[in-house]
Amino acid sequence: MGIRFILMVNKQGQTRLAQYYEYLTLEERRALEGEIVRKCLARNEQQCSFVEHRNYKIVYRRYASLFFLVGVDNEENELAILEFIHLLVETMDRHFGNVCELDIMFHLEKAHFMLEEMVMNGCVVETSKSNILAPIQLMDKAS
Amino acid sequence: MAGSSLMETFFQRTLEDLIKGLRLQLIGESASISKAMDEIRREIKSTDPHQVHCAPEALVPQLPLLLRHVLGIFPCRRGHVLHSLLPTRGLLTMLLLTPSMSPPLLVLITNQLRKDLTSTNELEVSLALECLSRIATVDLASDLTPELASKDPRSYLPLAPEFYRILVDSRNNWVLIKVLKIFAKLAALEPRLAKKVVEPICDHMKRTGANHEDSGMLIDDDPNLKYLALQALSIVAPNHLWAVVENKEVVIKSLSDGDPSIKLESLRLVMMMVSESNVAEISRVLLNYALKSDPEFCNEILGSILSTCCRNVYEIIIDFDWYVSLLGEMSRIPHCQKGDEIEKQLIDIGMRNPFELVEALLQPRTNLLPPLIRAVYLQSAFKVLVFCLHSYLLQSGIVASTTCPDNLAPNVLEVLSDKDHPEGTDLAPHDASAHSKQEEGFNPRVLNQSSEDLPIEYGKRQVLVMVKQQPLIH
Repeated sequence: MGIRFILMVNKQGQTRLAQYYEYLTLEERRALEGEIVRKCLARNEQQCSFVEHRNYKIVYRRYASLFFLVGVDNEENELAILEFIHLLVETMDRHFGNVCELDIMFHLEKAHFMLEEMVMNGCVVETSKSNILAPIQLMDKAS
Repeated sequence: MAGSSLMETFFQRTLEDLIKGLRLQLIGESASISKAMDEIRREIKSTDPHQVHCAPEALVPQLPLLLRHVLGIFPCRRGHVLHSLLPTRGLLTMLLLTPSMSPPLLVLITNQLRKDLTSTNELEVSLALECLSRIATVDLASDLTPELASKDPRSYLPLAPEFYRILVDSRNNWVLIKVLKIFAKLAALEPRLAKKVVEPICDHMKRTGANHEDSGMLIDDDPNLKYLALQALSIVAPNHLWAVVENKEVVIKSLSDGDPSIKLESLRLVMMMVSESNVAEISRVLLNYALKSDPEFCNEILGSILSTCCRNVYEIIIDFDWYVSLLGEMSRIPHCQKGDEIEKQLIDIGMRNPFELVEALLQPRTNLLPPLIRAVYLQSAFKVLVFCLHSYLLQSGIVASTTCPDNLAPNVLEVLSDKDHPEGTDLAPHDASAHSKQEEGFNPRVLNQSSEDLPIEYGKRQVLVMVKQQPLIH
């Protein structure tokens, strides 16, 4: 319910991070990603950030070279999801400092940790950056 | 008394000094003014309210004069000054005794008066009322009426018709708000009044509600806002179609927007606006757009037209002639991928009164068509007749199962052998495309109301003829 999946894709269409909240086989995921990415990358800046695809919506935003795509149910609030994407980026920025695509590539597990703190079973459960980063900072300290 | 006279002189001195000081000050010396204000504040707070009440009248005009002076020089600080000074009741008394009040002061004390009028402390309320009685102006009265009415609503009941008139006529939102507040109090006393008032209030809500937010958002440049505005309209549409219709032009303009999501949403909205009266017009407009658009959106438009028109067994279509021609036109649009759906609908409509269909098929002028087409006509004529025969036989209960065409022929011969066959057949070619449909003048609505027997009877005669000439094998 709520969020179906979260993807981070670069301009060339390569998926840098994918988190799914409903079960899809590997083949299905690849097909889905291909379709959606093609649709979103083809759009220009003047167009709105919401794309309708089959029976759900994709809310996306581009940050430098990375596209953040979130697939949501039709009943979900689009503007709220846009804010959620921004929160995600800000959280990563606070942790990595001037986060860029390479950071996510080299520290993929950290990005996943952060995402898992924020979203559980398709619902946003945590929005406080300090609360989200606390366990990750603990892990860093311990290692 | 001595103490008070000391205070008076102290006060006086400060005031005179202050005025002199102000006159000498350059404009913009807000620091010194704040200092002076602080001093005044301290003094006023420190003085016993009783003493302030007893201040001699000579002293009293000074303060308002001072205030006016200060406010005149530093208009921007007005609010701040009054806000900090007003909490003291003493000031209010002084203002009370002022011969004239400047309009800006009035505006600023309105809020304070409002608070006082609704306060639980009787003293404050009485003070405010007295102040109001001296300085009341029309504006002040109208602003503060809700608060006055809350104290004694009953006395305002006779004025209800006046208020009702204002409610219905006024276009000013602030006035409306005030009147609504008054009515809230009055309605608690008079339920009949409430019922009467509900009607114009609903009208107001309808008018202002959707209009305000939506038309603003629709003409915004930000594509996100436009999309969300269209979505909001589509949510509101089932209950308040008037809102959608009012924004019709904008919605239709959005059909040609660069953004595919926006186009989809506006298409959906347009479909919601469709009704019997505007089906033709809307379809015309949409087909024009379809011709100009890319293949994907074109098919979207066609798909939505088809699905809307065939809803509830074609309930919104009155003129089937026109609809069939529209179907034909749609099939001829380049990039059309909805061939299956169009075909299904054509067959559906055609078979609702087959005998007219067969009549059209058997027209002599179809002989002019090329032979390939005539062959198709021929085949289709057979198909239609078999269908009719089958329906008739089912009705009469002769044939239980539907799957033995070989047995059909002898049975039919038996049953129909006693009927006569007046006309000879002229096996005409048949064109399954919209071409033939345009020659027909059928009106299924009228015919469907009659029983199934009529077409079956007619078809029966045709079938008999066929059967006599060649067995029906299908």
